[in-house]
Amino acid sequence: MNDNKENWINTVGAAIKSIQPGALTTASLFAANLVEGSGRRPFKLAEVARSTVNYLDTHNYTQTPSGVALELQSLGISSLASKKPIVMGEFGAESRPTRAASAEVQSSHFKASCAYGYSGWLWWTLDTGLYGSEDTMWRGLMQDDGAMNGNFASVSPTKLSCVVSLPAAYEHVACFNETAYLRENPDVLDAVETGAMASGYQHFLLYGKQEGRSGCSN
Amino acid sequence: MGFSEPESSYASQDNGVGGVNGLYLIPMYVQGNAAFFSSLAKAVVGAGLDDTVFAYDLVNEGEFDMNEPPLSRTSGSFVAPNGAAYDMASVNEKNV
Repeated sequence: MNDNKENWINTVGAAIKSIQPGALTTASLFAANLVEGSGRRPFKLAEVARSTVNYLDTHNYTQTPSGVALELQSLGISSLASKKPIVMGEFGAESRPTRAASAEVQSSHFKASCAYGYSGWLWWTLDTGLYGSEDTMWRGLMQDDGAMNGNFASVSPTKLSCVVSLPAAYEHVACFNETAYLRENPDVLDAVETGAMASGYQHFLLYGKQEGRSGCSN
Repeated sequence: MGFSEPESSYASQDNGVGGVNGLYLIPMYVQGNAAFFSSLAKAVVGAGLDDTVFAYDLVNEGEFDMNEPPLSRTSGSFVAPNGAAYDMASVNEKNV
C-alpha cells in the first residue's frame, strides 16, 4: 500500500499548486528506529522523495551521540538516490542530561547530517508555558544565557562543508534589521507606536518590500 | 516527535479504516486535506504573503498505524483511494 502515500502527497500538493504554482511543499518524517516494536510505520524518505514534494524534511531526536548515525541510517539517507534538497526541520535536546551532553549530541546531528548533504536545520524547543511538563522536557536554545546557542557556534553548518545560502527571494529573512527599519522609516515607527502595525517587519512584508524600502540596512 | 500527537482525534472506523490511517486511506479525508490546503493557499495569496510563507509541510511526521484497520486485518481485501485493491492477507501488499 506504499503508493498511497505518494498518491496522498501528490493530491494534496497539487491542490496548493493549483492556487499558488510557485509554492514549495514537503512532507516531514521521522526515523522508524525511534518507534521500533510499536505499530507505528513512519513514511519512508525514499518514497517521499519520489513524490512531487520540492524538498525533504526529517525530524531527528536521538539523544545520544552514537544514536545519531543509527537514526540517519534508519531514515535510509545513505542509499537515497534523490537529489532533492534535504533539511532537518526539527531537532532538539532534552533537558534531562547535562547541558554539555545535550550540546554534544546536537553537534553530532549537525556534523553527521552535513556529511549526508543536509543544507538546513531548525531547532525545536518548547519554552512557551503552554505544554505543562513537556515545557521543561526540551532545552531552550537561549536558556542559561544562550549556552546551547553558544555551543552551536563552533560547529555551525557554515563552518562545515555544507554552506547554507538563502534564495534571493528570502534574503531579507536573514538580514532584516527591525531597529534600523523603524529608524529609517518614521511613518512606520508611528504606525507601530499607535498599534496600527505589530512591527516594522510586518510592515515590510505587507507594504515596505513592494514600495522599494530596504529591510536590510545597518 | 516533539510532542505527542492527538491521534485519537483522527480516529474513524468509517469504511473499515481506523486511527491515523484514515487521513491517507479514506477518500473523503484525502479530499478534505486537499480542500483545506487549497483554502489556506488562497488565503496566503489573498493576503499577499506568497514570499512570506516559505513552504507547506503537508503532514507533520506522516505515518501509518499497523494496529488500526485496514492494516491490522489479516484477511479480505481493501480498496484504497488510489483505486487499487490490496489483499490484507499479504504482508507484501500491506507493506507501508
